[in-house]
Amino acid sequence: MNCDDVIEQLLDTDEDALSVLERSQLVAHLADCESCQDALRAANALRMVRKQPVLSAPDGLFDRVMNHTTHSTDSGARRSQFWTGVAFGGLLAAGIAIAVVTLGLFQAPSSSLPEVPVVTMALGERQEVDIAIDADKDLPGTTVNVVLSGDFEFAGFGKQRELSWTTDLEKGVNRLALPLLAVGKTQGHLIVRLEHEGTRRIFRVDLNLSG
Amino acid sequence: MSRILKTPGRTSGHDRFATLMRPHFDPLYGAARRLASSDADAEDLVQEVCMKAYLRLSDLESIEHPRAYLFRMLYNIFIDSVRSQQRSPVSIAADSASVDEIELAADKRLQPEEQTDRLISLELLWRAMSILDKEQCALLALHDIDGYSLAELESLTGMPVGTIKSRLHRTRNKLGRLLRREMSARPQLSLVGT
Repeated sequence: MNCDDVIEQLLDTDEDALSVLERSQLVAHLADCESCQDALRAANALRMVRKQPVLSAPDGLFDRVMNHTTHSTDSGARRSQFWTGVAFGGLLAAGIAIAVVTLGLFQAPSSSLPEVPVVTMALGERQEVDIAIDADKDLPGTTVNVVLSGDFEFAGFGKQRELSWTTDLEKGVNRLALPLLAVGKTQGHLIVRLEHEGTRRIFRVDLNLSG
Repeated sequence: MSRILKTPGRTSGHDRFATLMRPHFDPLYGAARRLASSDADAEDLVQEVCMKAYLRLSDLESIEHPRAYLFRMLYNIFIDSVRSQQRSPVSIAADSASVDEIELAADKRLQPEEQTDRLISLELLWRAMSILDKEQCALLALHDIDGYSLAELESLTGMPVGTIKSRLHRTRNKLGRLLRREMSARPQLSLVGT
């Protein structure tokens, strides 16, 4: 009898359902096998934990935990975004891959666009990608549209590959922090579209997989 | 001037997370309560699992067995807490063993040794588990405590059933050996109930 099978048989089979032969084989194996004796000792201890009553959560705990979880985590995310912005140059110097698109929004001709920035991520890695948008004046009511392709996701947004919203850009550098998750092996792009009063600018970031 | 643009829709994560967690919350708390020595500790454990799970919300939404995933998180967090307690100068409450004592051997007929009258405390069991590999212990707990089948563990871990069986057996074997040594080193535990 295989040692791997002994405890599985004991755990998965009602002992009364064992035949006389199976029972005697088990007893004989256990008597001679210290390894299985140890495994049985552990299995019995864990089985007794399993037999303890399962208590229900106290009233109100679910809501308390949910509120605390999302409040704390989202606050942490906002703090993280803030510090990402403040430490922008430092992070670049440290070699952390952050795409940077700094443009004179709505004024720079397309021929002056910098080279397409590239972000390289490992499979399963989550990374905040910062897009710096330099506007020469206040641009209220700007529509921001971001689209992902390839095996990348917006972390926290599941399978949603496109996000759109309206925001007020201010004169100077506006930083857009996008949490990306690499979920597969296909390279892709992040397309950022900005539209203000009928004028549109499109930025692209190439997303590569390392390894 | 520099400012941060807030990505829209993040607040909806609360509703998505709550919807996903609701059917698993009671079982998760029940499992945590079996591990923890008090209601407050169980609530802390559940809170920590939720904090970590919320950060992996998109993963949770896409996997086949979110409950098993949450339970695995629970065991990992719990084992970490046991380890940190052991490093802490504050010792475990002296009366915890008497409250949590469980009978070691349920099946006297299949015990080759006369050890059925011995008792193992939960404290001893968790401490022994905390010495072993965390992931392997979580796998063992999912199978032996929570009753997840080998097929379900295969789906959760991506490992073949044969590999899971071997790992479970090896981990049980190590755990049982540690318990045997601890029991012989702590004769006061073996005297209870004799």
